[in-house]
Amino acid sequence: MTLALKIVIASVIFCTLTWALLIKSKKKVVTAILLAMTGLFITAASFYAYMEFHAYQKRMEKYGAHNSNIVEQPNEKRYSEKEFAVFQQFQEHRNSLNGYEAFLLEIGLNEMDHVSYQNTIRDQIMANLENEEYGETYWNTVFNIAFEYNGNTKKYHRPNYNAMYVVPAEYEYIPLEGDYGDLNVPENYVYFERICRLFYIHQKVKLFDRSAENITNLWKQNKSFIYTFFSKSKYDELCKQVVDDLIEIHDTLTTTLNYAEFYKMYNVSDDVFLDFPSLEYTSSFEYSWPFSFWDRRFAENNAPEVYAILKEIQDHYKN
Amino acid sequence: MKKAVTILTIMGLGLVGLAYYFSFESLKLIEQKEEDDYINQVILENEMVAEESAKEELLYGNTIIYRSVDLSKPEYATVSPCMNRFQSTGELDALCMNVVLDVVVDDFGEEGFINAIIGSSIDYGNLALHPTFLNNLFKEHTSLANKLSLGFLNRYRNPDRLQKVFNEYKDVLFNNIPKGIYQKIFEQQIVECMSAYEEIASKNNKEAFFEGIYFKADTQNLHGQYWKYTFWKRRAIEKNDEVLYTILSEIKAYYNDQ
Repeated sequence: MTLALKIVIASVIFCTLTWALLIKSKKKVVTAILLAMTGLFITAASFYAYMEFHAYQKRMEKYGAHNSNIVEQPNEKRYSEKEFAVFQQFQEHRNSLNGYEAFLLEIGLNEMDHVSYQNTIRDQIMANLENEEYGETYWNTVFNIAFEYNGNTKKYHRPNYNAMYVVPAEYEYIPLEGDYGDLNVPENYVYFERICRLFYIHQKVKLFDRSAENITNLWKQNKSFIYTFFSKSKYDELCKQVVDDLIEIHDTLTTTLNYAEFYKMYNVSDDVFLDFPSLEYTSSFEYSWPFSFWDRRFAENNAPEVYAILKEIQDHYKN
Repeated sequence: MKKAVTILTIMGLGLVGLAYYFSFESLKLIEQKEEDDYINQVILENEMVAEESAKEELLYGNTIIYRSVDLSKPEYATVSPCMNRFQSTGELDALCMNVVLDVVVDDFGEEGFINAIIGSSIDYGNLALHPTFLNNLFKEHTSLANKLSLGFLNRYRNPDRLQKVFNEYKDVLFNNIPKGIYQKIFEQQIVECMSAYEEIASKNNKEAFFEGIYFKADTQNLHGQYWKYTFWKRRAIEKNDEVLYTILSEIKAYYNDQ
């Protein structure tokens, strides 16, 4: 209870007592005394009221109206959040410059990671090949990598031939992240370039759209390059056997009853797979790859088109 | 008489009530004031805490943001031996400087590089102009970053190029650097330089003036103290003093108008 409230209660009690006495007493003396006391009471009350009013006025002046007391004092010496952000931005730029310094110094120490430089070169090589796509140099590069000419034996062979065909199994891992030595040395560079192109070819074949239509178009647009690259002798040595085998096997398979149903079966084991049309027939070839080749063509719905192309090639080199 | 007593008591009660009302209002004012004081204090404390942590962040911000550039083959072929030599001798000849600088500027951008140099000129511990920034820049065996910064700045000693690059980036820089930072970090240096320029311009016999300055500087080893004068002598030799003075005036005028 505040003092002010106590005073109010005391005043009320005083007034009640005064009124009670006033009603009960009939004596004039009592009334006179009461009058004097109320006179004193009203003087004190006025004084008290004045004091409080004065104090209130003073406080009002001092503190002002409500809610306006929260003032942010701008300080000349202090920095705002925005200014700190500016400092930070400049500091980051300086730190970046130091980052370039670190990068350059690493080059000087020859401790630069080979991978990042190699990757740059690899991307360049692959981009170059991509830019030449389906032109004469492109096919030349591709075939030269797949079918290498050996100067000593004066023979072509096919060391990277497997990059050209994609069987569901992954092509052997090309260790592109390996260290190929100082790429400014020509031999290292040439070797690295071959690896990169091989990698490109492999990626390309893997991602190639093997729809019947696309295969036919690609063949029509590029066959001249292929005929140019493979002379008759080169064809006979490198491709004839494969092409003849593929055509022969296709003819045999498609004349066998129920061949379509058989090849629709998915993931049959080799025992079953190579029993079709007969074990005798499949084992008369040195490799089982042509059978799985046609299995994939049937599955991809491009067997007739591929067969037509192979036939065209075979006819082209007959004479 | 009885009536008088009754009226007086009622009036007295009224006055007490009035007094109570005012004391009650006073109390409210006092409470409000205390609350405001408390809020103000909290705000102040929060600001101080935020400022402290921001300052600390800057102080410990001396890290490296690693940047790697995908060098082309010919670039690598030139940069690699240059950096090799720098590692062993600590020197970067003019040709190397040019190639290495091109590589960095190509990747970082001219603006980025300018910001980096401004960033290096600030002392983040005291939030002031870095006292040894210029010395480090011109020191003989200095870091590669400093060497590159100097090489970068050297490209703009030509008055036309200086004016051109200033025109190109002034808007960005004015935008990036608020007035507060200009005043706290750069203003003093700019004003000093400008007043030195004006002082030199007012001298009738400039040669005698500079002779005196260089004599004093040489004999008393006070090159640091006379730097603001000798600075303009060097600018005069490079014939970029006028352009630079105009640029400084423009910067000063821009921030004074803000």
